[in-house]
Amino acid sequence: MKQLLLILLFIPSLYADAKVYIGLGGGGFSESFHQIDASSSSEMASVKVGYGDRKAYAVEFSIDYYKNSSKIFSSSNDTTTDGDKIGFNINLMKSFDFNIYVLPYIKVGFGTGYLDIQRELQDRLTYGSFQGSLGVFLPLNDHFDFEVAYEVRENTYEAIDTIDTKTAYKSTTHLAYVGVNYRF
Amino acid sequence: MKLSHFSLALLTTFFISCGDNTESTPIIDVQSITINENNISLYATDIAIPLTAEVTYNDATQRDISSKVSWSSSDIYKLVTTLSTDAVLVTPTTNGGDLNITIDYKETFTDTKSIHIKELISLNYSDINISDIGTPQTIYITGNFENNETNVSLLGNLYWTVDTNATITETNSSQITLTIDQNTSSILLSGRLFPDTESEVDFNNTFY
Repeated sequence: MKQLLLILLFIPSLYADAKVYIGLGGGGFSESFHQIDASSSSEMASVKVGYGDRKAYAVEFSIDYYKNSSKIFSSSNDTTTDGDKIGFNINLMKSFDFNIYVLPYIKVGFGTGYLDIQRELQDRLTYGSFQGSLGVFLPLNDHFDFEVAYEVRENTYEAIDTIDTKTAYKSTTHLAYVGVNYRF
Repeated sequence: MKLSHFSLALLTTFFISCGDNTESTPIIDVQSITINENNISLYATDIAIPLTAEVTYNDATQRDISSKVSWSSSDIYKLVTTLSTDAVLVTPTTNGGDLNITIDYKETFTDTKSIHIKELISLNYSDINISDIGTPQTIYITGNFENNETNVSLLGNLYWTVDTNATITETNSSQITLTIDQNTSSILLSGRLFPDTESEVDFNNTFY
């Protein structure tokens, strides 16, 4: 609810030179779990839609795809990895114009997603995340810009059920992202 | 920002994505659940016996899950299940019979064991002196069950009454203290197993 209010508060400030933009990008991530000795790293891709001023504020919605090369939750011998992750995120962004070639920004948001797993009692796990990132836009012209960012995500997965215990595993993901945006 | 910087960013994403990957889950998974007790039988006069359940994981470890699974009886008219802190208590509600008890977890794991309730056939009573008026006297009672099990201690489910010539001052299933109130040639002692239910069975004895 707080996040929704923040979004609504930001909307008036978006009108100045605001544009709709769409973006496409990808990167690499490394995820380490807190309660267990487990890690995952692979590639990701993201498609996003945003609205805002490249030099001020923006609100952004993205759908992420994370390739999964690890087997952290699945216990079945029928699979060598957990399923790939699909996530949806909402982010608020503040960028800065220091009259240099690039436009640095900070971005915070939250998201949710799921991945398929193969366990006796569960075949899908959902997760929620809070994320923050630092990045830069590299404007090519009024419509196109490249984007480079570093993001940290704190993830909480749906509890794993072992009858005796139900444990919600937490992890931290470090993510490097490069992409291109088109504004109109 | 030059193109070389952008290339550096691309290289960074590549290295980040080449980190460690866990190849085998460190999180144990359920393999089976079982009711620990085998060949379960209880006397119709037992108050309750405890049953426990256990989960076996894929690393061969086991844990108690008695309070985390659902327990059900195949015949609710013969047996009542009650959850206690560390076990399930099963109480007979009929004099004799066979049924199954099942544990279930999310309709994925189940286990079933059979339970036999031993039928109470007859009772043995210690004697009293009915000419001794006004003095409390104790009658000790044991049970004879099916398959010739004799002199079994009685724990519960039996309720006692006596005719108007005497007064019961203290009672439990296997012991009655009564006082003869007046001169009489006999005293009728009535025992009711599972009283006021469809399973009620009466055991009467007359003392002379």
